[in-house]
Amino acid sequence: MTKYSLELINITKYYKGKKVLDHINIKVKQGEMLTLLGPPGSGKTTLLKIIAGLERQDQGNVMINGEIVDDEPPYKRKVSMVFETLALYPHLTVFENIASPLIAAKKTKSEIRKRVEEVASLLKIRHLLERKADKLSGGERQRVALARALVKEADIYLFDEPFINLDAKIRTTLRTEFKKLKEALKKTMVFSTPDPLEALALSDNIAIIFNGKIVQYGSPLEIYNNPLNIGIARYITGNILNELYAIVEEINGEIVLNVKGFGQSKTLTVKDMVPEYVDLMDNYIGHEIIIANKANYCYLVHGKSCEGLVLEAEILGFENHGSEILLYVKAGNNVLRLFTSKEDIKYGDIGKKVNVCIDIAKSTFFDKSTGLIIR
Amino acid sequence: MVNVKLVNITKVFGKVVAVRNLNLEVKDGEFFAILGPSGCGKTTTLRIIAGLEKPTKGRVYFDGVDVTDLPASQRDVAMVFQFYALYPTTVYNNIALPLKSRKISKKDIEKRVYEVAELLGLKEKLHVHINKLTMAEKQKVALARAIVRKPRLYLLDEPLTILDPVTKIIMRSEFKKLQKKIKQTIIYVTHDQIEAMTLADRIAVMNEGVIEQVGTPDEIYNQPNSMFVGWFIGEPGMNFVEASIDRDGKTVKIGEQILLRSNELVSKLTEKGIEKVVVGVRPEYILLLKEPKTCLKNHALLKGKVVVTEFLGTHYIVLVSVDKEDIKVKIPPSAYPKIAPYKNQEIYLAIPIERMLFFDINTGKRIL
Repeated sequence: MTKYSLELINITKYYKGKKVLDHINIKVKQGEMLTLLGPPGSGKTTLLKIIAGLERQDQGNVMINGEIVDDEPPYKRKVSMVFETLALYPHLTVFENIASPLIAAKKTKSEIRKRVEEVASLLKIRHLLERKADKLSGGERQRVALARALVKEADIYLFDEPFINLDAKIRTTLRTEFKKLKEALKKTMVFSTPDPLEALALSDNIAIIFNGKIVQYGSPLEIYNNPLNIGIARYITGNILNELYAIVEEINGEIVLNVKGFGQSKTLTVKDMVPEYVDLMDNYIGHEIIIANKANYCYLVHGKSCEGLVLEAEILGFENHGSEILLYVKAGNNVLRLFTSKEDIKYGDIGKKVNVCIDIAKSTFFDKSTGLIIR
Repeated sequence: MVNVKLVNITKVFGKVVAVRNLNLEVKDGEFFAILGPSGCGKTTTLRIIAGLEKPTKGRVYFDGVDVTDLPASQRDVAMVFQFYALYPTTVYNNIALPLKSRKISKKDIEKRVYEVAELLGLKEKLHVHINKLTMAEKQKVALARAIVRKPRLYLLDEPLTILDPVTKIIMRSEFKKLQKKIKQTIIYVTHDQIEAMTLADRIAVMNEGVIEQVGTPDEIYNQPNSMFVGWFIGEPGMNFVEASIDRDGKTVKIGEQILLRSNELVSKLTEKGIEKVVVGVRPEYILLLKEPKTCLKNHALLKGKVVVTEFLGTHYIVLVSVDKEDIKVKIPPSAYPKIAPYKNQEIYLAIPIERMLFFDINTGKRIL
C-alpha cells in the first residue's frame, strides 16, 4: 500500500521543441504540503496543470493515490486548483461563489450550507457571505477563491501563486491564515510561488525549480541551511547574503583560507574556525571558494571579542526596519549587510569606519568554479 | 526653502474621493515622506502640491501664500518620478536643459551644471551619452536636472523603486547628504515603509484618502495613533487583542486571564469609563517562555497555546492563541531550539508593560 497522494514520475514536457519540464520526480505524502519554488517561467504552472490534467506531459506518469491517472480527464482526477487570476462570478454572492462546486456536485442544501459556513469561518469571511463578489477587496476575493477551492472534495489541492497579485501587507496576513488552515485541514497540497519566504514559511517540503528542472528538494530548514549551490543560496536568502572570496592554502601544515579583496592578506585557520571542515578543505587546496554568510550572523564589533573574521569596513548606508536596522558596509571590494540595533547608527555615520565580525562557524562554503556547496 | 501647508484638501475624481479633508504642514527644509498602500491618495496629494491637480476643495499655501490657483509652471517646484524621462543626448545637455529656456548666459549655465554634477558625483560622466549610464546614474541625472533649477521645493514620487537593493541604499544615502547640502524642503511619496522610515524626518501615513498619522519614524513605529498604522508599519504588523476592564477588581483581562492589575495604566483606563479596549503590542517585543516566570519585572504574563510556526530565515513567527485570539511572536533562530514550539504546546508570553498600547474598540484610535 502506498502512502503517497501524489507521485510524479519522470515528467517531461516540451513547448514548441523547447524542454520546459525535465524529468520531474516528486512524491507527496497524504496530508503534506509541497511548494514548487522558482522564478517566473521556471515551469511551475505547467507542472500544476499536468497534475490537474489540464495539460498532458510528453513523457512520464502522474499517479494519484497509487494509480496512474494520465488518461483521466481533469474532472475525474479529484483535484482542486486555484489559479493566480481570480475568476469569481461577479454577480453572485460570496456564498453562491463558494457553493458553486458543491451545487455542481449535486449536494443537498443543508450539506452545502454546512460546508460553506465551515470553510468561511476558517478563512474569516463569514461576515461577507451575502455580499456580491464584485464588491470585495483584492484580499477578500482571494479568500473567497481559496474557500471555493477548499470546499470542493478532492484528494489533492493545487494553488498556483495564489497571493502573488496582492499587496505585501495582505499577502503576509493571508500567508499566516493559510498556514493555520493547512494545519487544520491536513489535506495534501501543492503550492507554487516565486517568493522564497512564502515557501519557507508554509511548506513541509520545497522543490526548487530552475528552468524546468528540480535543482533541490528538502524541508525548508534543510534548504535554507544547506543550499546545494551558490545560485540556490542567493535565491533563497535574498538580499541578506554576504559573500567573501578566499583561496584555500596550506601554510606550515595548516589549512588556511586566504580571504581576497582587502589589500593585505587576511588568513583564517580552518582548524580554529571550523574544525569540522579540515578534511573537506584538504580537497580544495589551491581552489577559490565562496564564504557565504547571512546578515544575521555578521556583527558590529563593540570592543568585545569576535569569534570569526574581523574586517575593517566603511558605512555605506542603512535601512530602518523599526526595531532594528539593516546596515550596509563596504569591506574591501565587498558590500556586506548586518542587522544591528537602532541606537548604533545615525545618518551622520555614513562614511565612518567600523569593524565588522563575520561568524565563520555559521557560514556556508561553496566551490567558486562549480558553485557547489562544500560539505 | 519653503513651508507647505494643505488646508482642508478634498479631491474627487468622478465618484471616487481620492483625498478627503486633508490637513498637513511640511516645515522648512524638512525631508517629509507620504507613505501608504496603493490607492491611498498619496500621489494625488503630491500632484496637488505640484499644481498638476486642482483640489476639489481646500487651499494650498507655500510660505503662507495661497498658491491654489497658481499653475504648476509658476510654483517653482521640481518633480522626480519613478520613471525618469531623459533626452537621448549627453548628461551635460540633459542637466543644462531647464536653464536654456531661461535667459542665462552660457558661462553661467556651465558653472551651474558643473556645480550640480559635483554635488551628485556626476562630474566624470558629463560628456557621456545617457545610453551608456547605469539605472542609478540615470536617476541621478534626473535628480540633477531637478536641482539645477534651484527650485524651492522638491517632490519625489517613488524615485528609487526600480533600483536594485545595494544601489537603493547608496542612492538613499546620497539623497540624505544632498538634503543636508541644499537645505531644501523635500516631499517624498512611497509605498515602501522601510524607505520612508529610513529617509524621512517625519512621515504622514495615509489610508483611503485620509492621513492616519504624522510623526517621526520612531513615533510611527512605536506610538501608532491608530490600529491601521500599527498593522501597516512593521513586518509582521502589530498584534491586537481585545481586553476587558474590570473596574471593581482594578484589572485588565484577556478572557479570564489578568493582563494588568492595579497599576497606573489600569487607573487611567478606568478613569475613562470604558469597559472594553484593544491592546496592541509588536511581535518582536514579546518574550516566549516554556515555564511561567514571575520574576520578570514590568512584564505581563499570559498563558497560551501554540497554533503554528512560520520559519522565515532570519527569524521565526510563532502564532500563539490566547483566549481565542492569535498573537504573533517574532523570535530569532538562536531562541528557537530552547522553546522548540509544537502544535498545542502550552506556552507563556511575557509582554513588557511599557510596550503595550491601548486602542478604542470602535474607532481603532489610540487611547493610551
